[in-house]
Amino acid sequence: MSASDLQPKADLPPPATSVAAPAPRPAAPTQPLPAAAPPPPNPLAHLPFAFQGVDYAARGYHCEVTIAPDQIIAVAESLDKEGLALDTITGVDWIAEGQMEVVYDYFHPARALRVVVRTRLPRDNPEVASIHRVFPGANWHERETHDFFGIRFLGHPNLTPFLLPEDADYHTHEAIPPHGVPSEMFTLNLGPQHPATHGVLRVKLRMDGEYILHAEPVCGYIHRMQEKMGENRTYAQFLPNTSRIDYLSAMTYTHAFVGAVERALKLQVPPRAEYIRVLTSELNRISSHLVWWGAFLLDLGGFTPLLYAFDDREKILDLLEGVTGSRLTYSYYRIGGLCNDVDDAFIKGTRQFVAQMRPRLKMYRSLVTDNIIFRKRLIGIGPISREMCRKYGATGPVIRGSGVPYDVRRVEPYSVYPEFDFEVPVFGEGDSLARYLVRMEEMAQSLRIIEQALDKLPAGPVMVEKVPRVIKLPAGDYCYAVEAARGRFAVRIVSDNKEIPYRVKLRTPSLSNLSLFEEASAGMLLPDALALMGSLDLVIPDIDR
Amino acid sequence: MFDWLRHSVSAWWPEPLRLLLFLVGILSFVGLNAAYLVWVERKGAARFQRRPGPTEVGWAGLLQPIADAAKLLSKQLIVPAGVDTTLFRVAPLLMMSPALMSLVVIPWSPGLAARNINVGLLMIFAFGSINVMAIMLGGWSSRNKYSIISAARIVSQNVAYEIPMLLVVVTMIMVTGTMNLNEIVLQQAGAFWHWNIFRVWVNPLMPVTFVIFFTCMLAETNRAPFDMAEAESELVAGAYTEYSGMGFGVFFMAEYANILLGCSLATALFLGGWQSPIGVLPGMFWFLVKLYFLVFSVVWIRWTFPRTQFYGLLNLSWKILIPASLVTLILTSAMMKLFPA
Repeated sequence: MSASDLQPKADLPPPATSVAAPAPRPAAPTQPLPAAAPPPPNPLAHLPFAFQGVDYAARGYHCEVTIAPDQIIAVAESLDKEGLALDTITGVDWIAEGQMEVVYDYFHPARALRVVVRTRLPRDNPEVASIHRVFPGANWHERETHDFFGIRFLGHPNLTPFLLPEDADYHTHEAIPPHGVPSEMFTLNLGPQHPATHGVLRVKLRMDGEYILHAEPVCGYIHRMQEKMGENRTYAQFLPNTSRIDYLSAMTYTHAFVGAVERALKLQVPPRAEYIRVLTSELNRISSHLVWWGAFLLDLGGFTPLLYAFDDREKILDLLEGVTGSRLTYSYYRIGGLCNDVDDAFIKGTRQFVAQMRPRLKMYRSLVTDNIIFRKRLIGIGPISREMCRKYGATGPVIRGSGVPYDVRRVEPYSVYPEFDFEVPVFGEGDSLARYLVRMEEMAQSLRIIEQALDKLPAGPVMVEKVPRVIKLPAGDYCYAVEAARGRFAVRIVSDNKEIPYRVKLRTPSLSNLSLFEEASAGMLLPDALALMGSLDLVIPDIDR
Repeated sequence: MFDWLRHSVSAWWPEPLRLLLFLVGILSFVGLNAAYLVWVERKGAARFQRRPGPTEVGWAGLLQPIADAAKLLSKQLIVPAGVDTTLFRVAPLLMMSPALMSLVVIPWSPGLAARNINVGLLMIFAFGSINVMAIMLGGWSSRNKYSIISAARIVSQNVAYEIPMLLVVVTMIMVTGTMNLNEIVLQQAGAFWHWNIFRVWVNPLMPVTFVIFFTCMLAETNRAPFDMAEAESELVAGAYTEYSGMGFGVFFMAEYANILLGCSLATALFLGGWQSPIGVLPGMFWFLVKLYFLVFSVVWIRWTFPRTQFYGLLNLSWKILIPASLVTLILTSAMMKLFPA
């Protein structure tokens, strides 16, 4: 895209000093800040960095700081001590200013605290220290940012292409011993076409017999430049893309995107639309978990559950097809509401489905969950500690399987979720069975939410009265996070008050969840590692975007 | 009809012709069964998974195995570069032939056995050990890492399960006093409580012995939940990864031939062979009823349980099955000494 005329924040202070303004960027003239509003509280005021409180409702995060590049490790360390986890790293290319911005998002696994750390680098020599020693999860995010922006992260252990194609040297980087050379160890390329990787993920395994010495996931086989596409089209045009990132959880992904745009436009979505969003999102969550359940059992060598799962999922797809016209990539939510209202058949069918699904879950429990072979395959396999989750930014059922009740629906409530009575299932063992049980219990909880949403469903319109025909977001950045089926999905839109966003960042849960695989799988047996991988519930396009 | 068959093949025909007839009979029996057990497996799997299964080719998909065979036969036999060609080609045959050989001593009906030899059991187990070598060679010669992992698995798995199986068989030999399968079946004449599985006065653990035998049989034939060697979600297709066309087809058929053999053996050893439980209908009928019931159980288990983990499999053998089979062995010998029949 042409960005030479962009001047979103020319008056930003030099990077070495901290920002004194309450908002990250001076408000654009079209969107003046309310003069009477008190300054938002700053939960990190005690830290030696100039953190500023930010209005969460307007921006989607609680506080931020802009620091010099040489302080980036110090900030990461102090946030680590505060118990925060790394969410994602975003590069923003400010061409007009000759600068590169690196935005570090942090979240707290236990309370509503989202922190944004920014630093600016000169565009001709963008270098910043790597924080992978503090947060190992930064490894992949930094590689990705290096891919996209050429920002060099000094001290990074392996700054090779992550989503972009590997260059020719890379294949010979780790030489595979030629035929006949005696070696007890060997390299096994699991994938990109392998039944257990559920798509085009490749895991380069260094094996000693069946023991994994080192596993290196190689991503990018299905990289579609979703973020770049976001920078090339209007908000409405990008909306269908959001269904295609994690196609199993399309509703929630669209929700995050329209949520971010609505947050920027300060649109009040009608309650009926929000209820239907919750309703369809939860149906989508169940269908996503069902696919995972079947595929996970397939990984463990049990074939039959897949067909049972698809049987139930079929009913959900039929329901959603009746409303949205699609069975997988719904694009049902619109900026300001929904594309159409639900009909009586959907409501009746959903009630029927809820009634049918409960006994089915019970049956799944007795058929699969309580099976001794199944339990023996999972108990104690692939333990992931809560600390490891935090360091890698793992979310969703992975972190809840490690005993942390982190659920975006609870910690940072969005939409009308506060109005529902549901539990966040948490299992503390951290093994594959815990993650399994979290998801099974989540399906039951989703059914509860669906029932309540059906009972409470208010009448009224499903679309905001007046959505601007040409959507331009006020300059600034806007975040919106949702609890997708695989964990925390967050959208960050950096706007320069134009029809197309300046930068779209998609923080996907699968990427962070898989990034801990390298550490978690070391020393495991191959089948156990595959059980672990299955319990992470990966969707490869969600990683590669 | 069966009586006529029995008389005709055992009395009237000269020996070489009789053998030829049995050869053809066994080959066609195994071939048809291998083909149609695939159909049974697919149909069974479909029923367990609440779907119709093959329906297109022939009535209820009954011609599907033939279509499959035609497809496999018409496919090119790819020998990948760098493999040990001889071993690669020999391995499928090596897997198929022991099952065929072993079926020679199975008594199908009174007097209907290709060879009634007095070391029948010993022969079956002698040939049965070749199987392991076949898969191992197939996996090793394929020059594929998945295949090699599979080959290593198969060896330790089969070694582990051969021991309890043999211990159980030794128990049976002690109880029956013979290795002649025909005689073992004859001893179980009368009503169904004379079957070895119910002969609790010889050894109160006799049903357990049967369960051990059946479990080991599943493991020996690499069937779920012990299908470590194939483990498609881990090793793609294990030792068979590089095989195409009929090379794979023979492996596939051999798997069913081995199931057939294992179930026949279990029928003869424990379930009274061709003995009728109620004294009606010919022996052949009862043999096949029992045989196919066991075969169906094998299919049933496969589509119900997930795969075990490898150490779980070895633990089961070394820590549970071998001690249990030793207990039955010692108990049987003690009982036989204390209460001689």
